[in-house]
Formats: sequence, structure tokens, C-alpha cells
Amino acid sequence: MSALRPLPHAMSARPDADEQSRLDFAVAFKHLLRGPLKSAIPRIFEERAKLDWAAKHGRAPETWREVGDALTDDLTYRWWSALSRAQQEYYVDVTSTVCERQLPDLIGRYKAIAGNARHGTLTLDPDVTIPPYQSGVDIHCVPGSYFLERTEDDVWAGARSDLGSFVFIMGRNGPLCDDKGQAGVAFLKERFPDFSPKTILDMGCTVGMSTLPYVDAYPDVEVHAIDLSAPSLRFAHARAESLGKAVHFRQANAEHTPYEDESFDLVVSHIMLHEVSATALDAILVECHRLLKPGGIMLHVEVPVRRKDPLDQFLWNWDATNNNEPFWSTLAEMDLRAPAVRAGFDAGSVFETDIPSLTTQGSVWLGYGARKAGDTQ
Amino acid sequence: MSGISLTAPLPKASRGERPFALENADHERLLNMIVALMAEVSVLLDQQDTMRRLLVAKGVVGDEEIAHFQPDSEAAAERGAKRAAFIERVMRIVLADAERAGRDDMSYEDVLAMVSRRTPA
Repeated sequence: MSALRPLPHAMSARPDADEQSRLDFAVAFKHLLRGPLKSAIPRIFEERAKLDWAAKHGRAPETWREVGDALTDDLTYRWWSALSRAQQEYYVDVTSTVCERQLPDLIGRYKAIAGNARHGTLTLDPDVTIPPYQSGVDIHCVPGSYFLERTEDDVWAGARSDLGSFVFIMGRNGPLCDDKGQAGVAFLKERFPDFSPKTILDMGCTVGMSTLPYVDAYPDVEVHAIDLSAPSLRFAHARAESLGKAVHFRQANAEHTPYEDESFDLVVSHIMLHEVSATALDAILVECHRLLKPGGIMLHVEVPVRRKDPLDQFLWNWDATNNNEPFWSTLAEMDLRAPAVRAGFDAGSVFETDIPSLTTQGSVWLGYGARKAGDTQ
Repeated sequence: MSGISLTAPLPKASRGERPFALENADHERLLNMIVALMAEVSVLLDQQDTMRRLLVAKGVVGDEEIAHFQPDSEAAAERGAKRAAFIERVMRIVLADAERAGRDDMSYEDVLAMVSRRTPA
């Protein structure tokens, strides 16, 4: 198996040979879990678990919860699940310690780059508080989550996200891990060919992986990006500078941002919505509507959590119960049209569609959005 | 850590109750240790591969020479002893169970009772 490597930039954590071996192991191990082990589950379900459940209940399991009930005692499912959690914790530990070892160096690089910023800006706001849907559990089982800050100019959480995302997705989102942004841009250009935004806001940008594709997507565009996490934003700022991309990063909560009404032509987010809450989702959509200019577009590129088949849905929801993604399975089932309409968007403009990945054939993202009424300026 | 001072060590436990999929949570804890050990074996294999490639690239030995290396009798004996010791270390608990099964040990409770009983003079 060829080992994929991220495209290095000036802020990349640099694993030594042994650390890289551990990361390569984590990826190879995950391939085994996702391949031979996980792919055996549908057959086990059809030939065994489903029949056992039906014998007990007088009918076949219909919902993903019933499928789960039928599968959770199955030996292969249990071992796959246990090993998957072990793999997740293992890779998180390795990426965490790689960044911990290099933290002084990473902070030094951040200060050198940020002190010389020529493209974008960074605005931190110490008054931003972490909402309960982010502080209740450490998302993805990363101890300290996005918010661990233990020293001045701490960038640990950003560095770990940058390294971790690539390993987590096993390199399948491209060398800069920017497929979500690239796919979002490609979707917008195809669906709205005459739309050429001048101002863009990316919500929940973390280290800006998905933000950067928008910088080059449209002529004379001004790109802004917000996140709750100061360590991620410091890293994002230096990362964007080192890659020569102009982005204005700001620490802010997507539920209530500091920007004026009608500031943006396009508001996007990438795999952010599944990490909020039902209440916050409402607030975020209201905020998107407020921030958009008339005729502006909102696009949320999400993990394709909304599955048609109950077995598929149950397996996708593994992350909800086993990888600290508490809102994931709720988002998978909820009506997405209603909150957008409540936020002020015309029902006819709300869309929910598959967005094809540009880096992994056959793979899609969930595209959810709407267009604000009125003519583009 | 040089250069900076941290207010706390890197945490090892993520917030959020940890689920266990196996019937016995202790088995799953052991499983996590095995995964970490498997990773270290994988690291060692990579290291070994690095050494071999460096030695070959620098002309110290040839690839063929390594592939067809035959230890002399002394080396073979040392290697065999190391191999057996390694297997015994990994299989220790099973070997100990087998050894114990062949003995007529007093039960621990009996020993406890024995040493606790004060026999009147």
C-alpha cells in the first residue's frame, strides 16, 4: 500500500521517522477496518442478525435503530466497533504527541509568519465563549478538543487538526485536505454559473483547509473565515500566509457574528453543522440570512450523514455514539427545509443535494443551502 | 519542553463517556494495548527496512547478502534463545497457568487463614 503524504507547508508538523511509521500504521490499520471487517457486516446482517431479530420480533428490522439493535450483539460488529474506537484513540494520541513534541518550534514558526503577514489578517476575541455543544464532549475524542491552550500563542490544537485530518481521512481529500472546499466551489459554479461573489464568509473554518479554495475561485474576492478556536485560527492564519492566500480570520461564534447585516455574497461552512446542536443550527441559519446580501447564497458542505438505507445509516451513525459526534445522528434525520425557511429563506430556494468529491471517485458530500431573495447587487 | 512553559500536561482522556463494544470492558482495554503494541512492531519493521536500505545503498552489504544470510551455529543458537525467550515473555500468563495446574499449591485463602490463625500455645 503506497503511503500518502500531505503537501507540506511552512506550518506543517513534521513527524520523525518513527512517528511517521506510527501514522502509516494507523492508516493501514484503518484500511483493514474499513475494508475486510466493515464490508463483512452487511452480509452478516442479511444472513444472520436480521433473521435472529425477525424471529424475536415477528418482522424484519426497519429503522436504523432496529438494525442497530439487531447488530450490536454480533461478534464481528462488536470487534469492528471496538477496534475502530481503538484505532481512533490511537491515531489521535500519535498526532497529539507529534505536535506536542514540536510545539515550541511550531509556535516559533507561527510568530515568524504572523509577524510578517502580507496577505490576510487575524483578529482574536478573548470574549468568545465555547458553547455547550462544543464543550460537553471532546469532539472526535481529541483530548482538549479544538480549544486546548496551555501557553502564549498556542497553536497545538490547529497543528493537530492539520496533521490529524489528513490521517483520519487517509489522504483521500487531497494533499492539502481541501476537497470539501474544492467540491463546494465546483458545485457553486455548476449550479449558479452567473454567480460571482465579491465577499465570502467561511464559518467554522478550523485551520482553513476548506477556506483556501474560495480565494482563487472568483476574481477580486475578499474571503473571511471564523471559528471558535483561537489556537486553530492562529495556525490557520500562518498556514494561509505560508501558502500565499489572503484570508481574514476572526474568532467568532457562527450563531452571532460581529459582521454587519448584508456583509457577504456567499456564506459557506464545511462539516460544521454536524458539530453544533438543533438550537444552534436555527441560530446559525438566521445568522446566514442576516449576513447575506439580497441574492446571496448559503452553502453548507456536510458529511453525507443522511443515508437512504437503514443499515447504511446505522453504520454511518457509528461516529455519533463512538466518536463523540453527539449531533450527527439528529442531523441525519431532521427536516432541513424548515429551519432554513424559519430563518427567512424562500422554501423554493432551499436545496439539499449530493456534491461529488473531486478527489475520491464515487464519494459525495451533502450540500445544503438556500438563496436569499432579491437581486444580486 | 524547551523555550515555552505549559500550564498543564497534554490530556490523555477526551471528555465524554467512553463506550465499550466488547462484552467485557477489560478485554477491550487489553485490545487497546495490543493495538498500540502492534503499531510498535510495525515501527520496528519500518526501522529494520530503513537500516537494510541504508546498508545496501552505502554498499556495506548487498540486498542478496541480507536475503540469504545464514547465521553460523553460534549466531543461530543466540538467535534461537532470544526467539524462545520472546515467545515465553508474550505467552507468560498461559505458561504460568499450565505450570500452576501441575502443582498442588495451597489455595490463597487457605494460606491467608493459616497465617492469620493464632494457634494457642
